[in-house]
Amino acid sequence: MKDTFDKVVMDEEKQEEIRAALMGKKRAKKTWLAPLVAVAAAIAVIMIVPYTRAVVVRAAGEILRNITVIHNGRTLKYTEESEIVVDGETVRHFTLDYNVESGYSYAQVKDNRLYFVLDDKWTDITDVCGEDKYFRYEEKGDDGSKFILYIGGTVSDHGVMQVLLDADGNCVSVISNNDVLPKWAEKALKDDKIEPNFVMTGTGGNFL
Amino acid sequence: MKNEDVVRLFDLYSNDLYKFAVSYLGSKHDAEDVVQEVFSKLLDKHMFFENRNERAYLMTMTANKCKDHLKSSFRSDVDLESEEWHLQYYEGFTERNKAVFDELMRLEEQFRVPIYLHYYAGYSYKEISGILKISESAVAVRINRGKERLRIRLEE
Repeated sequence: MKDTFDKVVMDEEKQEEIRAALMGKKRAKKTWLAPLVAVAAAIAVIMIVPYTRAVVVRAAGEILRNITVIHNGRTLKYTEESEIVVDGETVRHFTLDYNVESGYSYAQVKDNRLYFVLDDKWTDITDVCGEDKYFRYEEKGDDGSKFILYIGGTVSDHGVMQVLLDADGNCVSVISNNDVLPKWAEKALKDDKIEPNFVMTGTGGNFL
Repeated sequence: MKNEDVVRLFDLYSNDLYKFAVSYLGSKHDAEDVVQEVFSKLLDKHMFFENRNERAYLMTMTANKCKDHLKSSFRSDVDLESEEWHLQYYEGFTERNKAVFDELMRLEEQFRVPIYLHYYAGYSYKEISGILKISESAVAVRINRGKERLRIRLEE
């Protein structure tokens, strides 16, 4: 078998392509494209019922404007907000500049253990996390808004999810660095009775 | 992780992960996708590796990605009997290589993957248990049963 699999190798061309992609991948600036469906739906239904939706959308802008610094040396600066039309639907468009070069993630792995890291304080959360288990951290802003951070999954396959609530407890945003919300994240939202207006996943959640 | 650190790991381990993903998925293209996804994901994580840990950690990530891929509707259609599928690997193969490879890939995934990890990648039952998240006794059973099936097929 050894002789056989020694001959199974990745194409050099493909290797070069992946290597180039890894070298060139940048995460310096992201555009936060807000509630494609939720905002359009909110605008469409304001005159019928849920005014709370409009409040949530407005709160998103207000809260985002107030964010200048997040933890772990990462900075986040609100730069722009506008309404644009995409495929005939009005969407709210937030642009955030954030610097991740000098910062680091809330979730880190060291010596095969999973840690929650907050401004240089390391908390071992390996045993409270799992495929359907998570660690929870909450902070309240001066304006009554809340940031809730969840870390879940296993040491080798973990993720971070951040929920932003306005002062009235309405969910403004859910940001996850998993491509698809895993079991633990679904459970966390259910446990906290959070109903997302929109979920930003994958590369959009890199600054977590 | 910094780009250059990820590329260093890619240069060291990409072929190991690729072979493992081929043994898992039976598809060259799916295996390439998985390898790229594993290393791309490292860019989003901040972690410190001890040298003895990094290979096993990457193998576990690869196993998880392969499992996701098998569940995914975007997976390439793999027909293990097709001539086209065989030809993508046969370059440089002897007749014996072809026979071993074909019969191994025709084994069910639950037997094929532990056999690959033990007999090619050189992992112990305990290490395979960690990579595949199954018990050591399950690893032993799968390897023994798979090996027996492989032996019978190669003798035929």
